[in-house]
Amino acid sequence: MRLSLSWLGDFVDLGGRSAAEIAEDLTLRTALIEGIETHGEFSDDVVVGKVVECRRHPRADRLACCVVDVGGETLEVVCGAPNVAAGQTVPVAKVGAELAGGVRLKKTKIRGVASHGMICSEQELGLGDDHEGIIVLEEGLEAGRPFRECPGVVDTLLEIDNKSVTHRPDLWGHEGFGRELAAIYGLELRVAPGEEGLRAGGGPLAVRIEAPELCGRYCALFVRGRLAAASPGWLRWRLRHCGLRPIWLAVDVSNYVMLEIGQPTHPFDRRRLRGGVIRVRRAARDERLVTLDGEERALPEGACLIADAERAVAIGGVIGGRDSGIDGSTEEAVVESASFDAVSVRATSSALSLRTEALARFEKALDPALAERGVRRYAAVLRAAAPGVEIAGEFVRAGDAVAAPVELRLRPGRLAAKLGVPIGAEAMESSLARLGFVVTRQGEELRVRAPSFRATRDIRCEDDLIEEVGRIHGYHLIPEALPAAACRPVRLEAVNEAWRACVRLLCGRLGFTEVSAYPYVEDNVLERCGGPGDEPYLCIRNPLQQGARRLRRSQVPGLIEFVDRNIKAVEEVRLCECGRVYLPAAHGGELPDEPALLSAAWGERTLRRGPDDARREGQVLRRLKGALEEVGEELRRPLRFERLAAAAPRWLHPTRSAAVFAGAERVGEIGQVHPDVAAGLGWRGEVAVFEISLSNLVAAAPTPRAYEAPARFPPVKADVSFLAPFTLPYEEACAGLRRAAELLTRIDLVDEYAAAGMDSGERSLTLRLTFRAADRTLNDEEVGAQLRQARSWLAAQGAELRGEGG
Amino acid sequence: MSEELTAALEQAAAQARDAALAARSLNELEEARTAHLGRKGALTTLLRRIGTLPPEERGAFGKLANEQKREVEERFAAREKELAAARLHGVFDFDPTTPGPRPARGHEHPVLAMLREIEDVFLSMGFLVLAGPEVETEYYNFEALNIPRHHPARDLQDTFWMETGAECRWVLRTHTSPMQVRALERFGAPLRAIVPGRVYRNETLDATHEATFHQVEGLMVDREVSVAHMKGVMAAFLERLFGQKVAIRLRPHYFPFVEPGFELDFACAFCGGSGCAFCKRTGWIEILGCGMVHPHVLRAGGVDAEEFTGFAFGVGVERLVMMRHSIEDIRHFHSGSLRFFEQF
Ligand SMILES: [Zn+2]
Repeated sequence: MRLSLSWLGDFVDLGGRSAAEIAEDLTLRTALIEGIETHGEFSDDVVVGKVVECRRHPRADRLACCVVDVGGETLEVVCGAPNVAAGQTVPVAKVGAELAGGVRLKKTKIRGVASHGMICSEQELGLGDDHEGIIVLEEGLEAGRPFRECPGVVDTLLEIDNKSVTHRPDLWGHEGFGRELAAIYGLELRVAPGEEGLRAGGGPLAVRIEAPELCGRYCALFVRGRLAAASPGWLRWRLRHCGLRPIWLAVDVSNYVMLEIGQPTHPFDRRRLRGGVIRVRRAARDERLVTLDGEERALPEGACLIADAERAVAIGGVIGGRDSGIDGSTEEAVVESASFDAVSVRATSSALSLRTEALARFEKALDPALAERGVRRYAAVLRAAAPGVEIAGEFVRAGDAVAAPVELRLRPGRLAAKLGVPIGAEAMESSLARLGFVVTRQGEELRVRAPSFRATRDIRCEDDLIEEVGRIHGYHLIPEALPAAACRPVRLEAVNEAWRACVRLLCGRLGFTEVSAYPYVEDNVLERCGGPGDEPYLCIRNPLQQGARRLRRSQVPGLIEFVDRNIKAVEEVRLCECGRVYLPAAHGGELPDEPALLSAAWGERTLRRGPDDARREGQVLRRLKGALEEVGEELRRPLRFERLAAAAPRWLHPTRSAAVFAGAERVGEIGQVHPDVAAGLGWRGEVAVFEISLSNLVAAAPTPRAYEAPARFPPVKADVSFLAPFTLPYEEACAGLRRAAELLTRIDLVDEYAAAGMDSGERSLTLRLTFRAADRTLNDEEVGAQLRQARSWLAAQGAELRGEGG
Repeated sequence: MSEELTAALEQAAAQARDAALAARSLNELEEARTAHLGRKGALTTLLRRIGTLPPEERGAFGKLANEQKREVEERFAAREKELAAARLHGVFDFDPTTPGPRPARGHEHPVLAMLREIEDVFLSMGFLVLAGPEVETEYYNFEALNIPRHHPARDLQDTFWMETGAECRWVLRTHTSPMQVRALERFGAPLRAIVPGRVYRNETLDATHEATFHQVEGLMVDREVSVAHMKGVMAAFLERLFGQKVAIRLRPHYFPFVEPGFELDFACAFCGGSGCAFCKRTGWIEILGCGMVHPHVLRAGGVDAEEFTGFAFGVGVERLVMMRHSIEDIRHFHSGSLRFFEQF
């Protein structure tokens, strides 16, 4: 919304205050001013001209060749506007003039005819977006006079951030901002005067409100005369500066009143209303209306309609009908100024997906008293704009809605406590009074009655009054102070702490990059990972794209997608994500479970070869498992791995995968990505993933770190290599070796190797055994005996021992 | 004693000493050492001839030979020390500008790293760090926050609605503010807490608009908490975040769940407040929304709105990160692209 500084001057004497100063004060105390623009400061080359002659271009039907008197000389100008005509007074840019966008006008030839200037539209002058037609000025302006000297051409506009006034129905017009400035600067406010002589009474039409809950008041004013004439310059310039296009007198006055006092009005052509009655009723089923914008709209059943005896003529508070509006021939009009229910107009507007200037105001809950002010102000503006128009002395008034009075107390103590500064009673009273509140003192307290234009929704409680006083006082004048609060130790929640520890570890030493995927997973991503499966998903009713309705149950499909995006460019990808998934609760009505998960993917573009030059499969998975073991170590919750039986995620390899346990609780899975998924994505290397629930993991108590004094006697180390079946798991082998050799204190894996294509179900293992006694240095015989026991235990398990001694 | 042999010995020793002196590098010295003192060296060969002498001459010759050999060895040792010293100071075989081999480093997500940073600031001021549901009920997301069903403020937050049965209306939370009420319900007053988390708006994506982003909600409720305290805490927060004191100002703004409500600006760091393209010539940059908790919200949280007052704020995290690193497009954060993340 734009505010004209000259228009604001109608309501307050702003004296010599600059636009910047006013904008700053409004920004700090009322609403954000997003910009200041000055319109109309054209150079001397843009002048008033009279179109003396206007002929069709000999070679182009759409162009006109005009002769324009620009005072002391005439120019031949080619003009493409459809509305140009002889006799008009128009702005003319002469050769050399600078137009909007910094273009300098040159003499040109258009289809063979020389053009020595340009008759300007709004767009060329930077006044607006309208480039359909040239600006036609009022008669009586002297040809040749610099255009900027014409009354109303130059103005300064303040651009209001509409979002900062959504709660203020009174700030959708200039008068409301005039009142704010009066309060800020301590000035007198001159309200916009209405035609006080108008009396409520009868008229040529009756008004029947059949849905009083949708329309509390309806006033109709009757006017007769040249209503489709052009409005006077001052009125047109104000509309133009504020971004509205002047059309016809009756419509322009309506827009003017809206921009001034915030009350939308709507003129109907009297001839088009049938049956001598205006009915305000609810829309029936399947009713349709062609609206002013030319669209035929199906009306939502029950919406507030304005109708005549036969049909709908307007959607109340939203938009008028095309067939009942003002047109070029209107000579008699009925001007509506009504009060519509804010909730219902909003519902209608969203059902129609149609927002209008009128709606933007009605949905804020306008003061019902504005309905009557609207007709009075319309009459006054119309009389000033077109003295010849006849205005009926009586208007029809139906309905008697008023804003329920709002009376509140304001305690200076509460105000001081909430703002952090005391404000004197006089200052409070004067701020409130200038904003239109009626204030009386009652001992320490103030009794405050809100003006009706603030009482519809905006002012509800004492705190709302504190805001009024606080903002006029100036929040920037309140000092900064740190609260004196009790000292209470705080710490992060366990999941958050675990999350941070994981990120520190993974993104530090382990070289992972933390990513974040959308929580709504695309169907095709799920499809690539083996499909959504049978689990229930939470879905978004109105997603950004139809294919992205599901809220994820796992972060892995997203990670696989990210691996795929990167693996074409780099040899190796390590990604992790710590976020939430969304699992529908078992009982309807209960909010879903949103556990925090830690997931990671490790991918290599090509399969690495081992030192023996054989393709070594499954190495990426082994490395990722090492990383996950580190995570367990970091969180002091040692993880256990078991072969995955059932309930394996669809994207995991059937055998190169495992369930992850912390204590007895299953917390997740790890595995290589299923070959079908990898093949579908065209991967040649290997990608492994894990996903664990941090929420479940931290539910278990951490294992305390147990301290052992460093050993006093040196260890003896020896390696054993053997070929063993996968049916002898590593952990069992270790446990058996420890039982077999009692001085064995430590076992480290040196190498595990299962060659590609070796489907024997066997792998080669090399273990480093550490023997140590607590009370002595071991001698060779003792170590030899221990080793023999270890080896014979392995042999008994069917392992084929290699190396010295067999 | 064979004079011939003695002369040969002395001559060989002199040659060896000269060779040591003549060596210009440790390599040459080593070659000379091998040539003279090695197993097949000239001096060694002569010494071996001691066995050809008559026994009575062996003692004197041996003594002489050992003296000569020691002298030669000393000469070599001295020369080696000289050459080593010269090499230590005079030979450069390390380029300090060549990068060292580095272990692969990981990268934290810049937005989540910022989130953690903000958490740390508020932890240090005694604020709890809470999490709340992202799939939220209409009641907590709107009604409890003083945003009834047909309120125009709902337009500002295009909402993702969940497919649910008729019995409940759920949304993907449009802000972290629902946790104001949940936290008050759970902990009561007094309370200091922040709620970092993801929020959702049904908005078309472009360089500055995301449908999924992060906010940090903050709430402090106690006896006599005022606008002045809010300004103090916000100034302290921004000072920690920016690493220097910054001027702030409050502008009135409407949020249904606070009264009064504000937008908070900080003085533009690029122009120092005189106005530039970055601050749209105003000298100020909007950074967060805040205000005094609306009595409606306190009551919804079961807190006596007469006894307690409080302030709340909400700050968008992506914008802070974009400002700090001059990131041009918000969509990078969900791209999963290593080329982007490797820079952090
Ligand atoms: Zn700046």
